[in-house]
Amino acid sequence: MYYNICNYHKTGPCRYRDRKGTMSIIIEVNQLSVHFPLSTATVKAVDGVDLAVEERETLAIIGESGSGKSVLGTAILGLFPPTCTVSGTITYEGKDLLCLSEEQLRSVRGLQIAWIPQNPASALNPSMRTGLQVGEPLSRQAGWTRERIHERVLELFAKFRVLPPEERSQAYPDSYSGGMLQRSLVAMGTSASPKVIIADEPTKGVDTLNKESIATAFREVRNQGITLVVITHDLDFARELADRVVVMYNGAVLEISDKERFFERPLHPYSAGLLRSLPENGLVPIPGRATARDGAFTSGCRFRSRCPGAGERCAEEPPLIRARHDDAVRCWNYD
Amino acid sequence: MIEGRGLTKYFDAGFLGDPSAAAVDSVDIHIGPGETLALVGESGCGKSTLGRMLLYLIHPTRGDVLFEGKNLAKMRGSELRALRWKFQIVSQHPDNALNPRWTVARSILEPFRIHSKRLNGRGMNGELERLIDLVGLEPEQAARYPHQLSGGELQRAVIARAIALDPAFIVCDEPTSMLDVSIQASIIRLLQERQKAIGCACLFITHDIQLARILGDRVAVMLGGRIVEEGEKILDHPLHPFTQRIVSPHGISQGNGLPEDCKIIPGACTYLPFCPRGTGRCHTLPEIQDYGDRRVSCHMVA
Repeated sequence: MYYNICNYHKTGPCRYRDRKGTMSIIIEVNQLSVHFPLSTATVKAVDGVDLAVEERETLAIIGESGSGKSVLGTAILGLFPPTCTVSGTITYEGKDLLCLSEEQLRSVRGLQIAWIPQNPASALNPSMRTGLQVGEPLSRQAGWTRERIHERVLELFAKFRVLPPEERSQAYPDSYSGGMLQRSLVAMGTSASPKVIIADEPTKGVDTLNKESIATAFREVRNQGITLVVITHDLDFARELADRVVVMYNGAVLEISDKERFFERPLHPYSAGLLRSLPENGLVPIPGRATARDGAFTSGCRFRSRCPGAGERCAEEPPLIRARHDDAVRCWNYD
Repeated sequence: MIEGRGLTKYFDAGFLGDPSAAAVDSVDIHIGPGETLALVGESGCGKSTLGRMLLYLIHPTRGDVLFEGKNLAKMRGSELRALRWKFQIVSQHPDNALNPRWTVARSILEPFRIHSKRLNGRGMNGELERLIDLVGLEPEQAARYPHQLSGGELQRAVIARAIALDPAFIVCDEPTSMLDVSIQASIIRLLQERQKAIGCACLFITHDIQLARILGDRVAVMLGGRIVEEGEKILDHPLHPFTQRIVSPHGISQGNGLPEDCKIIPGACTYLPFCPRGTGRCHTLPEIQDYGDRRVSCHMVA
């Protein structure tokens, strides 16, 4: 089922390999594909993604709904819907996560790589006290007694401003506000001191001031030296937190850029379109609609039908090539 | 056009609840024909309740809603129903706004079944074609059920239903807060274009300051059930400390939000626990006062 290949693009050695001497890579995704075979066609949710997450960085994965960013996030945790087919490798500390058994995965999931799910209102168990849920990752580790876990939970609540900690830890999730729920999920993610945290849409439908408090919580996580992967379509939030930005479209990575350079001058026409659709940049919609992923897209550049600069060459899919500095872009028109 | 006078709403807090908590407290608001008022505020400040009171979907505890000079509170049920086609709403969650067991087309045409006089002899099918073409849906999508469409497509269908009868007043209750930025841009453009074509008044409820700045002919800022500042260019030159706080460009990076463990002081200005400029005077609730180009409710603004 799984196969290992090192199919780096033909235009040159991969940038990540070049940088290996200076930066250590904590998670390396290589030619990852997650496909959902349906009766009529195959939905390619993630299609040949190459990505390296550096230690201690904050990486924002941005893209529209349906671009495959959440599937990519859950794939790193080894969580797959039952009907999909997977290929490629995901390397974490020298191990290919896709080759581990369920039992081996359990020692990674939640303890070394933690997940902060989207929609906090439905992510917590409504009939279990929040404090117990936040401390649950610890209960699987040796040496953690109930009292010690409780102390740790109170510490985390104080740090992430779920106040007052004692009262909050005894309460049920229904008495929490949206921002507080999200912050207790961040507390849960960090409770077992993982090396990597993957957060899915932490600011969806959240108002400005709550967004501030969530950003503060994530900044706290980053200061602890934890590697953060934030999946979001909130560009302001990405600008606030990220070191690098990965743009996904239709299952593929279109651009990987340093945050400053991305918001200054994005490389891919789709990224430029996303920035123009922000209210402060004129609220200009991207023409056309995302191509249906039910097999209609067969070859060529995925963004071709909506791209203002599309030419003949775009009938063939461009590789992810190295652009300025260490950035990368998947576009023929980049020079 | 539409006007609210002293609108107040207390929700029934139950036997043990706090009966003194007003969701909306003595709000005066008016929107002229063709005008867009952007209503900004945090979650739970009462902005949706205010919007629904103007539509008379929630009956105010105190205060009156006047539509074209007529007091809705004094109307009989049948009179009000006959007026209903003039008010429409586009809600935050498009997936809950349509009947899941009806096709999208049936939901879009529902207004014509209730107010059949508004058809003026035109055919239902022709109207359906006109509406889905206006909002940019495919006929094939209209034949589907809501769970088969994406959030952006559903919101287009909700807009088609809202504009079906050429209403005089639309409340848009955070229509894009659950959508992606690129979809948001196209939905907002669509709303603007239709509003211009129909010439209706619009109350645009949002927590996105940038959107409010672009869309609102006037902007009103709500906090704890009251309007604290309202006027034309208030987001560019805010006077109230709360408005200054939410428009600050470093909004997110300033760190902490409103401390949730902080209790609101009874009888005092709602913003006092968080206000950097608070003094002893602020323990009495400030009245909203006219300052020429705007109305502000703050003791410290002179």
